[in-house]
Amino acid sequence: MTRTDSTPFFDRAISWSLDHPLPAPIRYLAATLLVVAVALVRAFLVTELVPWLLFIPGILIVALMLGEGAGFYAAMLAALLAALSIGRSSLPLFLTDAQWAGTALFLLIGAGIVRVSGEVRAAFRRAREANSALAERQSFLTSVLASSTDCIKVLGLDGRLSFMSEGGMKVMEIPDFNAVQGCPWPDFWTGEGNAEARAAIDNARAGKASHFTAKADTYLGNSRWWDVSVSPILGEDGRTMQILSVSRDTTDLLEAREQQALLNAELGHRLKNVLSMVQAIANQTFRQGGALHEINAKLASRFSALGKATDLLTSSAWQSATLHDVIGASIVSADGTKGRIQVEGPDIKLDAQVALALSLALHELTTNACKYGSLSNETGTVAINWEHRAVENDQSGRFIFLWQESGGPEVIPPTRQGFGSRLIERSLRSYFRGEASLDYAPEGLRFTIDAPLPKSANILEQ
Amino acid sequence: MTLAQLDRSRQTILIVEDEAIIRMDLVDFFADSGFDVLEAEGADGAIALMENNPSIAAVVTDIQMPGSMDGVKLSHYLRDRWPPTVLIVTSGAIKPTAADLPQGAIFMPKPFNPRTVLDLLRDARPVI
Repeated sequence: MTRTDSTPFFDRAISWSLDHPLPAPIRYLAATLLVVAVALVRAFLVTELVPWLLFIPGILIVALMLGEGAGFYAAMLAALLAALSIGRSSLPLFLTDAQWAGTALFLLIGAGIVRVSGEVRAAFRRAREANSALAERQSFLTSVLASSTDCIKVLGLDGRLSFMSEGGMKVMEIPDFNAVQGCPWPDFWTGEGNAEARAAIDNARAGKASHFTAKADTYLGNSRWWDVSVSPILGEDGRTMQILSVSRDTTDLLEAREQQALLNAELGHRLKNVLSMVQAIANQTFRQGGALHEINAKLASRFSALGKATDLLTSSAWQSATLHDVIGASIVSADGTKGRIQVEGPDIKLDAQVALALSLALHELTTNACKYGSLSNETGTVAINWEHRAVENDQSGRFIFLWQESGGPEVIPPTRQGFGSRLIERSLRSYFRGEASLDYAPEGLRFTIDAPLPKSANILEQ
Repeated sequence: MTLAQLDRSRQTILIVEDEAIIRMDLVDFFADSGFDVLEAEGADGAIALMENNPSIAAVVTDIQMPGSMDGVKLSHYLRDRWPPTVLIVTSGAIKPTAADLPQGAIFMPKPFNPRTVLDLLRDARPVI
């Protein structure tokens, strides 16, 4: 509260007495002491004056500072003491008639002074309360404006800035309002935003509110999106006096929307890629021919493998998958014989395309092993091993992957290439940019990849 | 004169696609349809094949491919160096406008029906 800063002594004294009400005994004791002190001063120093005059300032002070009750008491006590100091016991009525009249007059004047003082004191109290309520309201409004993260501005009818909220200066990155005070507000906008701002000011002058979203730089030159409401501040006559403009920084929201749109486009792209892949897998499955129910079963199993592989990739936003995860997802179809598949190798991160292709190839190998290979009997096994082999004059080294079946029935090379072998020998070679081959050795099928470690591959642990 | 009539001998088609499974399937499809098919997984390989195989009459290329040149750039390059080549550009992500592509090139959004491409090739007239 700023009001008490420049208050004169008198104001402060009354304020103090209002803020520190004394208990009644102390008030009356203080009044008594003051009146007795005045009486003593009069008795010893100024005996020739009329006895009552000196008491008047004392009564005034008591009434103003201690309230009306103490004031009346002080007036009566003063009249008594004055009477005692001039009275003669030889007189039949202790005082002369004139002295009685003087005493009565003094009491009357004293009571009047006390009444008026009481009113002054009450008026002072009321003014003070009104003032403090006003100050409180003002400080409330100020703190509301300051804590808002919106940029709240008041513009003149000419569109020039006359006020900006503290929070607004923060979001607009304005260090000192003097730097922008009086500047035309539309100048903060360029291009479309500038036209929008001018139109909004014209609307406000005509008494209409408007709303727009546009891009503008902060005072420090950082580009932001703003959601802006401009409305007229009406005077009592209903005419626009000033213009209120509230801008909210919606950069994050708009960026999130942009990001969302990008993600949607990306998702559409991937969906189409997966559909193309589905188309290729289906075509390849049909090409091999066979009974419809066989084709159907193969398709279902391949799509299920593709689904599992996409699951792996979805968890990494289609960026990569680790080799252990790829193998884990691909050998699921081995079901009860999974325990006979031994997996060993350092975890390596593969990019999405490679992971998907390898996953499909391993699914084919697993299905084949369960039907005709080492997992088709009770005792055969599959060993999956890989390593990252350092090579001289080659920084990245080579990736050697081996699928070795053993303990199964004797392997008979197929008379024609199926999707699995074509996928492995044609596609994996391309994805890994190296050798990928199937060896139908009679003691067990062997599948190897010998390729430079893919550029995008990352060895996670050795 | 259509492409089929242009030359009575077998036509050669070049498939440029980095996704090997899709490439393999397209190669099979066009081979089954009576074309000689060559394949490349990127622009560099495609250009090398073009240089060594004057019999290539048509190129089907994806847009997104690793390497210095994407499918759009490749199609412009091919149009400039081998103007009569029939060019078919495909993508699941990008929809180029006619202005983005060289004159006479045809865009097919992915996934596409390879039979439609086959019809296009049969009807296509060389640009020159």
